[in-house]
Parts: sequence; structure tokens; C-alpha cells
Amino acid sequence: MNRKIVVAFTLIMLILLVFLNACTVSQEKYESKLDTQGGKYTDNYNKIISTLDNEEVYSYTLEASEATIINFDKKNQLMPSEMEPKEDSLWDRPYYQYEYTKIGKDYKAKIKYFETKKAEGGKPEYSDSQKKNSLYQDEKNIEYSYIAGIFTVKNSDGVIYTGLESEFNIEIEPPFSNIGYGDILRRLCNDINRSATTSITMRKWFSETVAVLVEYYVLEEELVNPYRNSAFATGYSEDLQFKWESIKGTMYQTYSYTSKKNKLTFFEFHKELYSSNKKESFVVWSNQNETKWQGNLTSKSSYTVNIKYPTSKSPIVFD
Amino acid sequence: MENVESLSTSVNPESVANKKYLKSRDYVTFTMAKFALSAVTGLTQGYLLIFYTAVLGISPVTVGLMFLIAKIFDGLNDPLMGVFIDKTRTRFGKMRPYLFFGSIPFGIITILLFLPINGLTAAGKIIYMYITYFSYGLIGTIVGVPMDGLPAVASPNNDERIKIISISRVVGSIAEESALVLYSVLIIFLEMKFVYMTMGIVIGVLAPIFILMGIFNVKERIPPTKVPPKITDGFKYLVKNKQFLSLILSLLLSFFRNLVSAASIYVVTYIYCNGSLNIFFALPGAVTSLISMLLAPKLRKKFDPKQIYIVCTIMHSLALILVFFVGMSVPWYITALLMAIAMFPVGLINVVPHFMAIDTLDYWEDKTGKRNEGITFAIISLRGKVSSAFKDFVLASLLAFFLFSTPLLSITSHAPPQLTFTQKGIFMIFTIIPALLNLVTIIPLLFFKLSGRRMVDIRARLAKKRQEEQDHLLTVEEKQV
Repeated sequence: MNRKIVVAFTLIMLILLVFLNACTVSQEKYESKLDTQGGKYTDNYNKIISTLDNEEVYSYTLEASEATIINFDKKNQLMPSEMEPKEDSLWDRPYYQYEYTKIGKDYKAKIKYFETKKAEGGKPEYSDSQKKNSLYQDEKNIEYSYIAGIFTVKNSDGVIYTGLESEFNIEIEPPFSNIGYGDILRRLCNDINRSATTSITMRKWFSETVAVLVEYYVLEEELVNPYRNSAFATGYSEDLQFKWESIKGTMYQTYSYTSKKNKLTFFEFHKELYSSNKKESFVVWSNQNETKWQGNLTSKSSYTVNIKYPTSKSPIVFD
Repeated sequence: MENVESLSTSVNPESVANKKYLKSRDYVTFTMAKFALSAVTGLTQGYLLIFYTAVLGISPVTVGLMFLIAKIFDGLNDPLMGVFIDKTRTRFGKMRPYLFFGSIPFGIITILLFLPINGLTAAGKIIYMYITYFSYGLIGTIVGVPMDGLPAVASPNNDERIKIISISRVVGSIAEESALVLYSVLIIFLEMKFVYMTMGIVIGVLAPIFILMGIFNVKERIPPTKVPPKITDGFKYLVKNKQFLSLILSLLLSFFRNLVSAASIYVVTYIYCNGSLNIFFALPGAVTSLISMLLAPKLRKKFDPKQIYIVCTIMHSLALILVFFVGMSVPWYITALLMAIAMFPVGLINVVPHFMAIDTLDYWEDKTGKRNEGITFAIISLRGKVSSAFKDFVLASLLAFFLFSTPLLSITSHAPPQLTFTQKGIFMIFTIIPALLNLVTIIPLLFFKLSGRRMVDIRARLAKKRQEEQDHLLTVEEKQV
């Protein structure tokens, strides 16, 4: 009899535990918590960026990579595997490295750009049949500096130009951005949209603080809409769903920064675009094709920025 | 199934013990059954956590908590199953009926565990996870406990019993790596979720076939003579035998070491971005550890098991620390090579506790006159399950701490990028975290005093006592004649 009581009690406890674990907070509470956390995230980030504003000497390295399926049919919303004839997805994967050094009012930047080799018709070339490893052209590099009031540009051939301040737009768009931290880092911070946020987490790891923020946007016909404001997104958190047949796609963005003693030391940004597309599949019991709408990854980009400050053992100098 | 063969009491016991009962097909089919069971174990222990987190998108904390509860529940199941088996009386035996009726559900639940279910809410996924995993634990016990007990009753010939147990254990160890081989091949051609689904289907379909083949051939020829020990008696014994208690505490803490093998799939997937490399990380380590296991008997003759355990634990930790400082930016084959070297002492670390357990048995027999093998190895087995529970819980908690990103199921094949902080965290879980935490297993062993001169004296006293008992027995027999 005792054994039966123990077994029954254990089963009841197990069922209770299952349901306790499966319970989720309401959408209102979830969004309210995110709004509060979002405030802490941006306040902390702005404080750290302000500290960087006052730094006279620092350097950073930015690693950036992009990848796009160039043969995705945007007009008909078809993945290459659904086209006639079927094709493999052709990923174009350029990447670049950017090194920036600031000493007082002087600065120097070096950019190395790696463009993929292209065959006829602009198709990227690969070293393997599965098209996982892209082939690259010779690296292109450019250096520019502003030292003692003189702005110079040095191109891949080693030729140095001066007097190009008006022609060489220092604030140009990627891939050749002069990101005096202000450009990408501030712009990305200002672009954070509470209505698009799905999670914010901050972690203490020894003397560092790591913060992460995740966003989802819905790409409607003429609009990039935070998911909370979109009529084509339902649910929240892990239950977030999209009405693929009515949208162009969704965009996933995640920002993460690391600070140590209130100084920004690392920044990371990832963006992924999941394009809405249709897939035909044959349904056995109805003996006809069925169109299913889904979202697949068609492009992504990543930026990581490592920031260094001078120390007595490792001073920062122009090389 | 054929009936249990009964032995006439008028048959000469010596001729019964020497007769050959098992044919080659008995060894082969039972080994295949054991292979099947171990393949399922290898699949679930190696890949279920990453399936739940990276395919189903369930948060690591939720998964870890489920594992902890389920495995503790599972550890308590086994003695209950032992009682059910003991009370079973059928013409087919005590164990074979459970294997017969449990094999097909076992295969079905294996398939269900790895189904990439779609369309469920977050709560629905968690409920599905709990139901399938607890069912797996229950059915696994229904099949596993009798499977472990079947060799002991398959033949009255002790040599045959030892042979079938040894062969099936070696094959079982190899079978646990079968999922690794399958994964490394399938990931080249399929998406992650379909890889796990395929592995579940292949192993889930073959397992019942192999199990049924085994039980149709291997008969139960003798009833088990020993009553399984009660777990409560085991805990009482632990409190009294302090040497055994210090050994068990040390073994309980050894789950930190198992983080290395558990984290390997995350390392190859999210740091080296190539799941098929898993075989190059796991297999060489398994080989080097097997080689060191073979050295155990020779080293045992020269050194105390405690010394061997402590030195090997420190060596293993130092090697992992080296891998950590070499870093994750080096080519993958350098990390794999260093890990193979780091795993060499693990074979010895896994084997010598059994020598120490036997020392505690000798110590207790010397002290009290009683020898408690049943309780000792039942507690060691329970410890194994509890350690496994803690390992999965700690791994899942660490993944959550390092901000592992889980996918959104509404996006096809969603694999969100893992942050640099997460990748560094995964590498730490693979190296420095187990390296440092593993050293705590040495602390309880500082209280383990069964070594050197003391054990020599204990064994000498026991040998003398056994000789006196044997002499007394011979004298009694001579008088009877």
C-alpha cells in the first residue's frame, strides 16, 4: 500500500513539474519586462560610448563578412531549388577587415577587401562541388590617414595621394566606411527598436559585462516593420510566427557588446534575412501539388569590433 | 520463445558447471541485442541535448532541469524493476518477457525522441519533451535491467557467463560510438534536424529487431540465486563504510570530466562549423583512453589505485588546460590531436575506481566478516546515473549562461549565429571548466586510506582466514566420508 502511495505521489509531482516548466508568462508581462531591460541596455551602452568619446588614443579592428544567395528569385519568391531548372544556391561571400587607429586628432585606417571570384554571368566560383568554400580574388587594400593636418590615401599599388579630402568621402557607406566608432556603433545603437526586441540579456563574466539584444522585423511590401507592429506576425518569444504568404521576409538582428571597467572592448552585430518563398510539394492523399509558404535564409552579414586601449606595456602607435 | 530449461537435482553439479550450453549464435545474437541497446544509449546521451536546444529550440535551462529530474527518477526506477523481475514467474523466464514486450515500444520511443516536431507552441514542445523522455527512461529500464541480468542466468557454466558478459560489454562500448559514425556521415548530406531524425529512425528500427533476435536464442537456464540488495541497505552501508563513502563522493563529482565528451558536438558545430568533424574529436580520444585502460592491470601491480587515479586526474586536467591556452583559433586538427592526448589518462581514471571498490570490499570483510558486492556495485551503478544527470544539467546550465541562441521553429532550418562570447564559452566547457572542476574529485580521496601497507596487511589476513576456512571445510568432508 505504501509503495502505491509513493508511486502515485511521484507521478503527481512529475505531472506538476511538467506543467510548471511548460507555463509561459503572458505577452503583456513579457513585453513589459523587455521594455524595462531595453532601457538598461541602451543606458549602459550610451554611457560606455560616451566614455569612448573622451578617449584620445585607441585602436580597433573590425571583421566584416557578408553572404547572399545571388540566384534567389525575388520577383517570384522562389529558392533556387524550386526553380525550373533546379539550381544549387549560389552564395556570394565577400569579407573585409578594417583597422583603425586614433591618436589625438590624428587617425589612420587600413582596409583589406576580399571579393569572390566570379565566372561568366557573375556566378561565384567555389573550390568544392558542394559550394561551401568560395574562391577569392587577390586582396584589395587601401590606407588613408589624417596626420598633422594632412590627409593621404594609399591604394593597392602603393601610390600615395593627397588633397583628396573633398573627393574622398570620409563617411562613405560600407564596405569602405570610416567608422570612427561613431558610424556603425552609434547608428546601430540608435537603430534599436523596442517593438522589434524579442530578448535582452546581460551577463557578468569576471570583470566584464556582456549584453545581448535580439530583434525581429517583418519585411512587408514597402515597409520594414518591427514584429510587434506588424499584422503578419503573431505570438511572442519562442512562439513568434510569421504569415509568410503575405510578406517579403523577416529580418533577424542581434547586437552584443562587452565592456570592462566601463570601457567598450568588443562589439558584435549579426543580421540575417529570411526571405519568404514558396515550395511545391505533392500530396499523396489529394493527388495534387500543394503550395507551402516558408522563410529561408537568403542573406546575412556579421561585424565584430575589437577595441584596444593603450597600456604601459602595449602603447598604441601608427605603424 | 522456448520455455525455461529446468535442471534435475540429481545431476552431478560438476558436470553441469563444465558442460557447454551456449552456442556461437547465442553469443552473436545476445551481443547484437546488447549492441542495439548501447547504440540507443550512445545516441540519446550524445545528441539529445543538442537536438532539444539547436533543433527544437527549447531553452537549455529547461532541458537541463528535465534531464536532472528524469535521470534521478530513472535511477530510482532500476531497483523497482529489479523487484518486479524477481517476482515474475512465467514459463519463458523472469527477464525475457520484459524484453519481448518492451523491445518494440523501445524502438518506437527512440524514433519519437528525435522527431523534429513542428507546429507546437513553446509549452507544447516542453510537454512533448517531458513525455517522450520519461517514457524513454521507463521503457529503457524495462528493457535494460533484464538485458543486464540475462547473461547471469543464461548458463550454469561460469566461464560461459563471464565470456558472454565480456564480449557483450566490449561490443556495447563500441556500439555507443555508432551514433557518432552515423552523425559524421549523415551531416555531410543532410540538414541537422534530418540527421537526428534519420539516426533515430535507423537505430529505432534496428534496435527491436536485434533485441528480439537475442532473446529468441538466449534461454534462461538457471534462476538468479542472489536477492538484489535494497537501495536503503546500500545507503546504510555507505554511512558505515567511510572508505567506500569517500570513493563514491569522488566518483559522484567526476561528472565534470564528462563535460568534455558532451561538449564535443557543440565545439565542432559552432566553433569549427563542421559537424562531420565530431568523429575526429571523439574517436581518437576513445582509442587513447582504451589503450590506457589496457595498462591498468600492469600499473596496478606497481602503484596504488589511489595514486594512479590522482596522478591521471592531474595529467588530464593539465592537458585540457594546455588545449585551452592553445586556443580555438588554431586549425581543428591541432585541437583534435591535443584532445586525443588529453583523453589518454581517462581510461585509467575510469578503471581504477573498480580496483578501489574491491579494496573497500576487502576492508569491510576484514573489519566485519561481511562482503557486500551486491550493494557496492548497485551503489556504483546508481552513482553513474546520478552523475550523468548532473552532467547534462550542468552542461545545459552553462550553455544558457554563455547565451546559447536557440532557433525559432517558424523559420525553416533556423540556425541563429552564436556570439563570440558563446563560442568562447563552449570552448571553455570543453577544456578549462572540466579541467579545473575535475580536480575536486581528488578531495574526497584524501580521506581514502586503503593503500600501500595497509591493504597488503588486510589481504594477508583475508587470505589466511580463507585458507583456514577451506582447511576446516576439507576436514569436515573427510570426517563425513
